[in-house]
Amino acid sequence: MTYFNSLIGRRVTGCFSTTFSLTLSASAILSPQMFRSLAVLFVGAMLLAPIVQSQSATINGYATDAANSETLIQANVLVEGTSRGAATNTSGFYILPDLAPGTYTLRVSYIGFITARETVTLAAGETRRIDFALVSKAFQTEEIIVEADEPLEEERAPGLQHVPIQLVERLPAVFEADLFRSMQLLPGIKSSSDFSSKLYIRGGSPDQTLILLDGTTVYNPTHFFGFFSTFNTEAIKDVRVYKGAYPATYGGRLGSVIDIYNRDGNRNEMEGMVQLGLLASRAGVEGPVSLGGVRGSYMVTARRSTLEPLLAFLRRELEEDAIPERFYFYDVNAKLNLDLSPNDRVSISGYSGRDAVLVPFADDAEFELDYGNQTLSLGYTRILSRTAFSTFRATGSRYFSMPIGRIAGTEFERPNSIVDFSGRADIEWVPNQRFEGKVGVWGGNLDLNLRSIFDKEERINFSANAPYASGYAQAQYRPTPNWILTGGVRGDYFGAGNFVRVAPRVQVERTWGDRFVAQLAAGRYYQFLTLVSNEVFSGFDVWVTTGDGIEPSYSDQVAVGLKTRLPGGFRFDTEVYARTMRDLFEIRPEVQDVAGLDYADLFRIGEGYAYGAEFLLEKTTGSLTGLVGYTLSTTRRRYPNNPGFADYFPPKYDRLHDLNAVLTYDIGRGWSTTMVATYATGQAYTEPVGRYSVYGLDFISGDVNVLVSRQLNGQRLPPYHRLDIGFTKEGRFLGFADYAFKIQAVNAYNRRNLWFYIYDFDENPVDRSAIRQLPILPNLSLTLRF
Amino acid sequence: MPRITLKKINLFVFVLVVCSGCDSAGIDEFVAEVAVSAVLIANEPLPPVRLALTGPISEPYDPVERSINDAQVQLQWVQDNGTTVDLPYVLSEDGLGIYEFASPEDSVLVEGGSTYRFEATVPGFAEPVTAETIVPNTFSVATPPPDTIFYQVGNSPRMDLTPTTYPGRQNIYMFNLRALDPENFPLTPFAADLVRDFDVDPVDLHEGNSPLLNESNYQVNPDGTIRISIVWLAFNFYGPQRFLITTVDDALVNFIQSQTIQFIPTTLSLGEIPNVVTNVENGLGVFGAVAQASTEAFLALAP
Repeated sequence: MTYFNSLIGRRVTGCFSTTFSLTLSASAILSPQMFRSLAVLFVGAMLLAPIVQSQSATINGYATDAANSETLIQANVLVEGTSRGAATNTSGFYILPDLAPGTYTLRVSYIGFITARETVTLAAGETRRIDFALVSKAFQTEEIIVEADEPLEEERAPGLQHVPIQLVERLPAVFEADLFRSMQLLPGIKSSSDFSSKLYIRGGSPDQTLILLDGTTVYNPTHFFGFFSTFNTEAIKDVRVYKGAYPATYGGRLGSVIDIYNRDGNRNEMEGMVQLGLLASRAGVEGPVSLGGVRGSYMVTARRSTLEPLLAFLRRELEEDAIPERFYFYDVNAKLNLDLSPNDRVSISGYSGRDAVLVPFADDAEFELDYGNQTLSLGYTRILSRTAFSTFRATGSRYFSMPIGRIAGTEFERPNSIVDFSGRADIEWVPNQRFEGKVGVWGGNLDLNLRSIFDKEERINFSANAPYASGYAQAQYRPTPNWILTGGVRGDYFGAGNFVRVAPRVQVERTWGDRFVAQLAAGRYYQFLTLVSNEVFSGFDVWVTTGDGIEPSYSDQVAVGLKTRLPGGFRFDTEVYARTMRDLFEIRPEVQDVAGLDYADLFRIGEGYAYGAEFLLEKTTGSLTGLVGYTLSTTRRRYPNNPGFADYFPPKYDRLHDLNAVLTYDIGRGWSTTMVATYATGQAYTEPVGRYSVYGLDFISGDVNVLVSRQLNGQRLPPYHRLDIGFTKEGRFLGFADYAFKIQAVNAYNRRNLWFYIYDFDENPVDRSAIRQLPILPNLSLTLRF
Repeated sequence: MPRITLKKINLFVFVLVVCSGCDSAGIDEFVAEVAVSAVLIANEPLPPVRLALTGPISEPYDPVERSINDAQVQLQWVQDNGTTVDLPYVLSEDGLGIYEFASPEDSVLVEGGSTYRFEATVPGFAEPVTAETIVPNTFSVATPPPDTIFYQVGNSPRMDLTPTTYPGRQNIYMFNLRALDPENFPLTPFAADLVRDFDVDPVDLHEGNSPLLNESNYQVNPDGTIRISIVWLAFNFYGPQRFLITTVDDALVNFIQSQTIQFIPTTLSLGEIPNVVTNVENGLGVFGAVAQASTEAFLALAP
């Protein structure tokens, strides 16, 4: 949590060597000698800490938003006139240890807030608790103007990206503001199509991203069969994305981490909001609570689709099959926080989301799907000592999918669920200005169930009960004010197959003055789960695990970057990365029936690699703000034991060029406009060059036609480009509420981007039809806050 | 540390992008190949073999024009003791690239459990086209379904099959159901709606087949027979029906599975179309083998 105030910037950026070798692997960097050095460092620092502490003073406390007392994550706390500083942790707590007795001025800053200062005089050995309440700049002026001297937020880890929820709310959206769709605009994060909110980060598939909501794993965070992510932006306080080479504090996924924190709720006064949209409407209420003298806050938000009247009208007027008889989604987020004492806080948060559809698509035929996620998290934070902070959490997470088809008296079901109960404990320790340590354990039980029932007979029953446990230790050492060395190691046990894996992580950081930070991060990553998914439709997604004959996937990653602060309120970040992917296990796509197969026979085993460079130019001050992100990247995969996939090929989401521009301009008088422009290399696809038919298969009805291609995904669709524009008007609504009215156009010039081709053998020559992505879509919404 | 300016960074980015070049892909050229169609049926006479050239996807495909009528074709039966019996083939009178066993008067039947090889020498192709397969063992319908089945009354119809084996794995079945008199019997309700609301041609509903199904799906009776059920969904017409049960060899399993995902991508990305897996060396198509049994029943409206 501690850092030197010479450190600036938010992301790994900057120049890099053009001789960067793609063969550089994390395992080559992380030698056993380095592990031993880290261990010695950690233990040595622990032994020295009491000696140092006996003569020094410590300041610690929380940083909060004065308006609602929400804790602020990664707020900067600086000791003016020194090189000392700290950033608040995910609980909003900071520790400034090892200060010599004397008088100091603390400066606390957070993006979008007025910088606060406080002068304190510390005696030898004193520990002073100072909680800061920062005032939002929104309270100074109704217009969104960010000052030129905006303090920069501390985001040290390479690949770490903060996602401002205010920006997500402001972006033109396909019916609903969507967190994941907004994240697809960031360098290194791609989508598979306009129809999917799933995230493909640095060459990884969506299941390679760990998604945490208040510390709880969320397994399939989609609504509307993948069109939206489940997270209601009204409920979210903070989102952090580790795009790769993430630290030892996280694990279990090959590629990346999305860490989402729900808002605590207003501790000062009760407030509410209502939003009316074309597809769904939202409502929320929050406020302070007092239970038996214990103060705290609560927050409840709910969102529900509002399509039923439209569907009923269509069913009545069109008399068409295939219009859903039932079709809705909802989600509810709730959180309760209680401050048990100045040092103890407890919170309980929950999420429940569900999609349900019933489509009678023909006489004697209907399809029903019910799927969703539920999470529950009980958190407890305690200030253990003046230099140590602890977090304990018990979590539960459930994903379920219950598709049922009934056609001509034949019923088929494929219920699938994953239930994950876990407990975790994390301790942060900052004994002095040179050392910072983190340790943690996380254990739980994963219960997966997948059944297939066809015509009342159970055909498949896969269940896996997988206890799991992990632990990590991370040490951070600053030999000089300009260098930060971080080493960590994470051990994982996974019960399905009884696998134990140890993964090292390392990070090196060097600062020059207050404008440049160079960073290198590397590590090994393991994954014990794979999502069986379809990029079009997420309601059937199924998680599968390692097991007999199926080893965990692993990845070595390295990232090098430089972040720079430029004159005029600009920041420019650059990061290059390379990663391998080994022992990827996926269900063989061609298998039509898995009954009776050995577990290992269900899978194809693959490997892959990805490398690229990401550039982000960001302007955070003035009336015109925004970002321009560009990604130059390549990813390849192959499955040597799967005919047709044995050679390296580009997955559909591989794109050499990806350029996104997001600009927000404050027009004045409550009006603002946001524009999003996107350009990307066309997606990879297979171009059939030949055809033939096979005869004599009298047990197959119809013709047996075959496409012939020269290479898998060897061609590219035309480039993708799109422009979204939105206008927002904010003001007072009839004197009792603040309003925000949005009018937006997605794909404003109606670019009909190609999605894929289909081939019709009923025509001669074979007819190739283009299936296109979203046309121009308008969107309106009205939000009232009272 | 050298002084880094915005201008230098911009220049660097520009150079990098320019040097990376455009992301262009070369044109995939069509090259004609030999496609083989042949399916051996256990305990049946040697089947015809059809040879054709693949055609460019963008041009009309004329089966007559693409047929190969000047190849030298031969099958080989590999006996249990390893010796081989040559089975020469000649072009049929109809041409169309169809080759038939040269000595039909010998009444050679395909032997279940045996290995057969295929070889064709095609002018213009340097390497001979070859393939090999193992024929599934024969089986029969031990207990047929009732003579008359009432649609959607009670459980779906069942039948028992005698046990059979395939080397190295469980049996893999495919079930085919053909309406024997669709002109004189009505469609079942679901099929009728497909025709009425989805513009499906009734002719396309005369016959239907299951996907490949593993034997582990089915109950093994105490006498060793396999009990299978035919789901109601399979029936498109009332009236007389023929059930054809087929067990397939590895070549057909691989061919059918990979051909299916060309059009039904399951977990693959849309537009990601792998080539079909073939057991034909220096060519395409399939040289496969099956064992089959059939039975009939009458589908009637519920009383």
